[in-house]
Amino acid sequence: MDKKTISAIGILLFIFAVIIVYEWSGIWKGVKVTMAENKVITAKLLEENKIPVHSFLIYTIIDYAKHSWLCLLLAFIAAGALQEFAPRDKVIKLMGSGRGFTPYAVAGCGGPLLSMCSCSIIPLFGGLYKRGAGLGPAITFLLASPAFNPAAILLTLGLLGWKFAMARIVVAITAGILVGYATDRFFKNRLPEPEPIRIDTKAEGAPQEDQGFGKRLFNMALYSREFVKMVLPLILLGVICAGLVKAFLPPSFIIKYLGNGILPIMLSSAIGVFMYTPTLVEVPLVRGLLESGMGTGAAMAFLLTGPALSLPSILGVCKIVKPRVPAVYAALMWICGTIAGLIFWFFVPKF
Amino acid sequence: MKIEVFGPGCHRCIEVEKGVKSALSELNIVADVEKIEDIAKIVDAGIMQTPGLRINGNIKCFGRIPKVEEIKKWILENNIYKPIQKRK
Repeated sequence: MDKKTISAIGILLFIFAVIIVYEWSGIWKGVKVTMAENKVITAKLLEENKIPVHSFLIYTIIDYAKHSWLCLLLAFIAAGALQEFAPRDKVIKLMGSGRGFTPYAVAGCGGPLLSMCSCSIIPLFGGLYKRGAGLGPAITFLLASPAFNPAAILLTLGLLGWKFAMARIVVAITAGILVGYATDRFFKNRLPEPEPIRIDTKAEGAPQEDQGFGKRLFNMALYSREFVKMVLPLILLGVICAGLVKAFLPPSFIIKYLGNGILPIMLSSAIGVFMYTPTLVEVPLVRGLLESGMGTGAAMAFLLTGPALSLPSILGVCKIVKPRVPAVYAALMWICGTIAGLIFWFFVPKF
Repeated sequence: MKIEVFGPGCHRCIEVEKGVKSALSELNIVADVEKIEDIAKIVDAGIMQTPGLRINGNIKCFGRIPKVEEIKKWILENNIYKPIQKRK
């Protein structure tokens, strides 16, 4: 047995052990700290002023780990399962062949089935577009899938609560479809048809189907392991950022620029459009900002535009289509983010 | 023999490149290994899901990390020269 085999078996065993422990002891309920309590603790720590920054960072990491470990674990399992079991070829076919509304719906809802790694989204976008799926569904996919993948939603559920998680799903799909459709209309007859490319169908894209279920479960654990290796350092980075924000940015500053109101929402939506946020990092970051006084609307706007768009991704897309296209959809996405933030603020005024 | 690894430079693509290199060294075969990171080129090659692997112009796999054994098989299929046997 090589190293990979052992660690995959280890992960499976660990998952089972965690589930058993969770069911058996109910530890989870014991460590739950409500948001208000957490704010008091944070304020106390800051007031005392004696604690050095590094212990504050450690406190933040432990606090976030307490809130999110179960959801994070589920997220890793979900990511592995998707990679192994999702019918990706079928989704791509559906997205490319339908007429009317169907490809949009498939792109919006089925996007997360296709990829977990944010850097693989642009090639998929390019492939969809050049294969004749149409500009609209390709953009819908590009915008909706990073904000609406199971891992991100589960982490949001753990760190920000169910209201944010639900709103994220609804808003990501709606905004993705709207922006995709509007951009498609806008560029109708203004862009040259992409020259179709040959897609090699003989390539072995998915593992062979004749594998047994046990073997596939094992593959799933391997993919989960891969995902953990990729994402855990990033999340840690996000938590450290959150800790730094809480330690150094005075709440009055955040309330002024990212608090409640239309201007802060517009600002945070714009920051989200340009700033590069790796997958899942936006969640701990937003929690840190919320704890120091960010408005709920501004948080929602950032959660929508942050993962969907960034300057590097816009530049990447520019290599495939004319730069006018990303400019238009970035502007539309900014407006959508602002509107979504306003609506969310209306319904959930307090964190 | 020309081996191309497609990927914009994330963790998964580096893994594939490593796999190719170790397969080559295990088989004792010399080949042209190229890492293609330009997104436009990846798309033009017809790769929709990275990482992708192309040997002598034929796409061998995409969207997953192939095992070293698989890469070895593909390399041997495409290799016109017999692998040099190591003398014991």
